[in-house]
Amino acid sequence: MSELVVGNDDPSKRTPLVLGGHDFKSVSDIICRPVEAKAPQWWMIAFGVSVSGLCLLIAMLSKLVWSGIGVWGLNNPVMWGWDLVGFVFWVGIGHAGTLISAILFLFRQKWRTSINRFAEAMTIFAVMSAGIYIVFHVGRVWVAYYLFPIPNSMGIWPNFRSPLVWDVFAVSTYFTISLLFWFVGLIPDLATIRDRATTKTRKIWYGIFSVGWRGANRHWMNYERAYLILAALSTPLVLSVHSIVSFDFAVSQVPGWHTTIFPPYFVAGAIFSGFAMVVTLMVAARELFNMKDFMTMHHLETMNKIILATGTMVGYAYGMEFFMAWFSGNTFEQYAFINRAFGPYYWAYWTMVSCNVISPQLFWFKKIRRSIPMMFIISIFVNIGMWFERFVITVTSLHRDFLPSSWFYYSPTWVEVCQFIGSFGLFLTFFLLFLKFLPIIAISEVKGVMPAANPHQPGEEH
Amino acid sequence: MSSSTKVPRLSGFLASTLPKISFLLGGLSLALTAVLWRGNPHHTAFSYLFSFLFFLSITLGSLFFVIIQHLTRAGWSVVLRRIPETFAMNAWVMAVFFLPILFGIHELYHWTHADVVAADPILQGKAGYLNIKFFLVRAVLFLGAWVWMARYFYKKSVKQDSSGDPKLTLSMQAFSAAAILIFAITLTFGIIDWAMSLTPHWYSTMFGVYFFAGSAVAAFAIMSLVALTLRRFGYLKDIIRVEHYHDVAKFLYGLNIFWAYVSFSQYFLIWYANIPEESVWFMQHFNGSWNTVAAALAIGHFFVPFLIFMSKHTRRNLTAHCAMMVWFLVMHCLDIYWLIMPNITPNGIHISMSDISSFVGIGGIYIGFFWLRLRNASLIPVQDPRLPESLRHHT
Repeated sequence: MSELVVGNDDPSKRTPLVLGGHDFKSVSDIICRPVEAKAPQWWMIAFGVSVSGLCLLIAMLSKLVWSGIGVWGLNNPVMWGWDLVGFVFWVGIGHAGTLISAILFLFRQKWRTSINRFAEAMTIFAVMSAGIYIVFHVGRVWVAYYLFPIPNSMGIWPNFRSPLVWDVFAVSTYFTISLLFWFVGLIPDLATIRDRATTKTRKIWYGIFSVGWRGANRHWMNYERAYLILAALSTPLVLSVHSIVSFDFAVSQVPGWHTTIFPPYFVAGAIFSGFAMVVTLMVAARELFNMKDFMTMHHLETMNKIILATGTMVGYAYGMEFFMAWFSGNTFEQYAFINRAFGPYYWAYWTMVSCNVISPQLFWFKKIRRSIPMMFIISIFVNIGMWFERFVITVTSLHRDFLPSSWFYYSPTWVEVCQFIGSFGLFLTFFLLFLKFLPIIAISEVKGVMPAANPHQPGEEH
Repeated sequence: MSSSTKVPRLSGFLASTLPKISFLLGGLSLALTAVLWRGNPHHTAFSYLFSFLFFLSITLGSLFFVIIQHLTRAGWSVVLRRIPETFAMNAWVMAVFFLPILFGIHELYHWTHADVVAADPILQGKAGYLNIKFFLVRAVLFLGAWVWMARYFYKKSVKQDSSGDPKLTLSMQAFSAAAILIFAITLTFGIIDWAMSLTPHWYSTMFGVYFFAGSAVAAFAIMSLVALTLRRFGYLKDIIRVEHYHDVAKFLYGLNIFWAYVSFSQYFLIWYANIPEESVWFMQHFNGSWNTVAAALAIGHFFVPFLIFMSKHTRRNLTAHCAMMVWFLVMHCLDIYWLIMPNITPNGIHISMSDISSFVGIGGIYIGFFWLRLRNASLIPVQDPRLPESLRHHT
C-alpha cells in the first residue's frame, strides 16, 4: 500500500478508492460509529431546525387544504407556479442516486461504492418531497386517489392520454424500485450493525430489518443476483421518470414547452442537479463524520466532472432551443424565447444561465475541481440554477400566452415560499435520521474495492 | 502482465487483396453512379447523399468511441481502440466525397434557389443561416474539425506503439474533453445542414441527438464486425476475447435503446402536439410504403435486438453476435435511407440503381482505405499503459 498517490497521473495505475491504510475492521468501525455513538451536538441542532421546517410544511399544507389552492399566487394563464417547480426540482435531485446506484453499477464504476448509499437515500427523500407537491397540487387532496385507476361507482377514470397520469405511475414506480434497491443494498450492513450491537434494542431492531442475513454463500449469491436485477430495472427508470416529467410540458403546444429535445434534456438536467446536491451534502458529511478516507478527493473530483459534463449538456439544450426558435421561422416560438431572455422574467433566465451553464465551466480547472470551498459554492449555485430552470420553463412560457389581454405577472405568495422552505425541512429531517441510524456508506461494497479483497492483484482494484 | 504481447501485422488477403477488390468495386460503381448522375441528376444526388451520410455516420460514431474512451479513462476497450481510430481517420475520405454534394447542391436543397426563397417568407427569415456561402464555410469547418481530431488521436496512438510514452495517453485524455465539445457541435450542425435542411421549413431540436444515436450504434457494430473478421483470419484470437465482445454487445444494447428513446420522443412529441409545421415531416416520411419502412424500423431496429440481445448467450455466442452486428448495420442503413429518400420518392420506397451504385461506390473506396490503413500500424495499441487491464478484462 505504498502507492497511495492522490489523483495520480500515471495512466497505468488506478487511483485507490480507500485511503488511510484501513483494514476491514477499521472500515466497519468508522462507518458504524455514527450509528453506535451518541448523536453529536451539531446533529441535534440540525435536526431541531429541520423538524421546525417540517412543521412549517405541515402548517402550510394545512392552510392549503383548509382554504384551497387560492392561497397560492396562481391565476390564469399561469396555472402552474412554485408547485410544479418544486415537484420537478425535487424529482430531478433524486436522479443522481439512481444514476449512481444503477447506471454506474452496470458500467462497473467502482468509485460509486462510497457514495451510492448516501445518494440513494437522498433519492428517496427527494422523491418524497416531490410527492408532497404532486399530491397537494390537485387541490382536493382527499380525492387524490382518483389519480389511480380505481374502479368506482361514479365511473370516473383518469384520462390515460394525459402525461400527468403517466407521471403518477412513473413516480410511484420510481419510488418503489428505489426504496427496494436501497433496502436490498442495506441488508448486509444492517446485519453487521446487528452483530456488533451492544444494546438489546439495537439488536432487535436491526435484527428485524436484516431479515435473517447470515452472510452465507447462498445469501450472497441471491443478494448479488437481486442487486443486478434491481440495477437493470432502475436503469430505464433514470431515463423514463424525467422523460415523462418533460412530457408534462412538451406534449402541449405552448411555445417554450413544446420542443423535441425535452426528454433527454430534462434527464441531463436532473442528473446535473442531483449530483450537485450529492456534492453539497457529501462535502459536509465527510467532514462531520470524519470519512475522508472513503469519500476521497478523487470521488469528489469525479462527481465534479459529471457536473461539468451534464451542465454542458444542459447548455447544449439551451443553445439548441434558442437556435431552433430562431430557425423555425415561427414567430410565436421566437417571441417565447426573446421574452424569456429579455421579458419581465429576464432576471430568472439570466440567473439560470449563470448558475447552470457558466458556473460549472469553472470545473474545467483541476484546481477548482479539487477545491472543497469552490465545489461547495458551485454545487449550491447549480442547485439554485436548476430551480430557476424549472421556474423559467414553467412560468415564463405561460405568463404571456396566446391571448395578450390575459397576460399576467406571477409572483408567489408567502404560502408557496414557506411551503418550499418546508419541503427542505421534510427532506433534511429524513436525511438526518438516515445519517444517524443507518450506515451511510455501503460497508460490504467498500470492502470489496479495497486491495485486501483481491488477493490476486495486490494494489489493483480489479 | 506483460505488455510485450506479440501482435502480428496484418498481411495476406486482408492487407492487399481485400483493399484491391474494394477499390475496384468502388471505382466501377462510382463510375456507374457518374453515368446515372448525367441521366438523372436529381435522383442520383439523393442516392449519393444517403450513401454519404451512412458512411459519415460510421466515421463520426467511431470518432465518438475514441473520444469517449479517453474521456472516461476506459481500460477494457484498449484492445479494440485501433479499429475505430482507423475508421475515424477515414474522415478525409468523407471530406473528398463531400465534393459531389456541392456539385449537386441545387438538386438537393430547395433553399439554394433564389427564386424559391424570393417567394417564401419563411426561407427569407432563415437566409442568414441557410445560404450557400455560409453552408460552404460550415462544411469546411466541420469536415476540417473531424479530420483534425481523428488525426490527433490516431497519430498519438500510433506514436505510442513505438515510444510507449504514457504522456501521450495523458495528452489524448486532456484533448478528449475539448474534442467531445467540438464533436457535439459539429455533428449537430452538420446534420442540420445536410439532412434537416432538405425540408427547410421543418425543425426539431432532437435531430442532432437522433443522428448521433444511430451513428454510435453503427460504429459499435462495424467495430465488432471488423474484430470478428480479424479473428476469422486468425488475428488477435486471445486478445479480443469473448469478454470484450460481450461488453461491446452490452453497450450496443444500451445505445440501441437510446436510439429508440430519442427517435420515439421526437416522433411522439410531434405526433401529440400535432402542429402542422412540425407534423409535415412525418406526413412525408409516413406516406405510402414509407409507413411500412417506419414500422420496420421500430420493429427491426428496436424490438428485435431488444429481445434477442437481452440474452447473455446471444451476446457471448460469436455467431449470433456477428449476425446481430450485421442486422444493426442493415437497420441503421434503412434508418438513413428513410431519413433521406422520401424527399425524392414521396409515394413510397423505391430502391433504384443509383442507390446501390452510390452505396457500393462510396463503401468500396471507404472500406478499401480502412484496410489499407489498418495494415500500416499495429492492430492494437501495443504500448498503451492500460493495455494490461484490457488484456485481462473480465465481465
